[in-house]
Amino acid sequence: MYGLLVLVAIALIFFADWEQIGESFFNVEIMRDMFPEVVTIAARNTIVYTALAFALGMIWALALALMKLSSVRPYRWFAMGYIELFRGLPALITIILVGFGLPLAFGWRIPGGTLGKGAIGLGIVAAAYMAETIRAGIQAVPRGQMEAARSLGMSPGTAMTYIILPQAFRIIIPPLTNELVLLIKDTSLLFVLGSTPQSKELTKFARDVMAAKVNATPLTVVAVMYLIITLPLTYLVRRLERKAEAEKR
Amino acid sequence: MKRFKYALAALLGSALVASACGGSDALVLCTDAPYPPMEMEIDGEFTGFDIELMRAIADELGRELEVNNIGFDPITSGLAMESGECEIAAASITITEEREQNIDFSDPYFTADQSLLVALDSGITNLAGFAGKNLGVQTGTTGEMYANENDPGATIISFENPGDIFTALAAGEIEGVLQDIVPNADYALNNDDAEIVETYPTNESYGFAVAEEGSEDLLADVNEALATLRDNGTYDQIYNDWF
Repeated sequence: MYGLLVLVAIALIFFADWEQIGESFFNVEIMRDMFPEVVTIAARNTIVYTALAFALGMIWALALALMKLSSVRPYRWFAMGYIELFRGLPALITIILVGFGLPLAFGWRIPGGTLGKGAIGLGIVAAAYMAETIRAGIQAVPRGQMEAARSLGMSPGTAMTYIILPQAFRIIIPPLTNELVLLIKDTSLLFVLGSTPQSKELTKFARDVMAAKVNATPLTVVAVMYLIITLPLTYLVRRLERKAEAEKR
Repeated sequence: MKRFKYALAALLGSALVASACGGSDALVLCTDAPYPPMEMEIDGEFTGFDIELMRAIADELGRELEVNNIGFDPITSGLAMESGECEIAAASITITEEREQNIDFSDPYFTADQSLLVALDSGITNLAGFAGKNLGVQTGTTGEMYANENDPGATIISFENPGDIFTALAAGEIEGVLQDIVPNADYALNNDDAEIVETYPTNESYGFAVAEEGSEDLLADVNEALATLRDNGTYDQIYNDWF
């Protein structure tokens, strides 16, 4: 089996046109030209869009998760409809609906330009996914915890806030970090909303340099940028998961 | 029996050719529709600036106009004219040296200027009025370069395609669009809430295309007719209908 693997690897290395690849994807001059903007503007914007969308999405997701677990039926229906809708739609379509559809429908312009529109659009999508994660986390906390808290005289709200949610979040930190990584990559869809030189995120930045230089090197550069941002996060997830495993024993 | 089949095929073939040619003296025009407002189909009839100008030229030559919507590639490669599908083509073809290797161009009949389209409710009347406002452009176009070089202090937002730009304009996310006059004119034609307030000259112009060989007479006639239409005001009249 390993022999086959080695053979395939050798064939790939042997038949690939390395000169062409080097010229198209690793043009050092173009790489140099992209700095420092690729860090100070593009990478920075990617992180800012992600952070804001994640924060908004998290708050909204918590509300949705609680609605979905609520004993009030219309709340449950709303949360379910919302989650099914925005998990089912491509993020690109949701972003266009939020960025252009909302202002068209209500004559209300989302403040903050691309940042505002992007964060709300992505936040709406992220909330749908995270709501399900949070709900699962809450349900994973043993039922006895709620019963014990209630028997101590805590109100259901207090028990949820101080007893259940802290334990639930501890359980769901790894899957939530996964959501964060997905969100980082989804910021590449924000180009549809239009961009100014100051508001470009990594992918749009790369595509513009690509078009100007007719060379694919910018893709390589931002690919590395994405990895610099995401790899520490995925590493963190692995650490947390291992720690959670160890605690169970 | 076999002979009969051949005869039938020949008959059908000649009937097809005859119907395709229409009246023997019609000037057959190849185009690539839709590209509004230059060429498009309304209620089954071809119209648009290119088509109507060509109709006027055909009138000058004392001929009917017939339109064959054939697509862009066969036109720029010259195949459409060489194969006899049509004598001449009008399809917003920018005159370039590269294309002149395959086809011959008439005198330029249209300059593809850049233009500034503004939303009427913004109250802006020129590029300087965009200071502190949002101006939409298309990524990687002449319009984007022009906007950046003559930036009046606007926030210049670049979009990937015209559809996105006009959606943003309708949504009020941008107050105006700086791009080729053709898509802007089409939008202004179909929407009462926006109009073109400024145009900026470029060196790009459109020409009618004919086959490289055997079209010298036609080309001379067309150029002459075009000059006449420019002189007698018919050209301006048609222009104002669409822009």
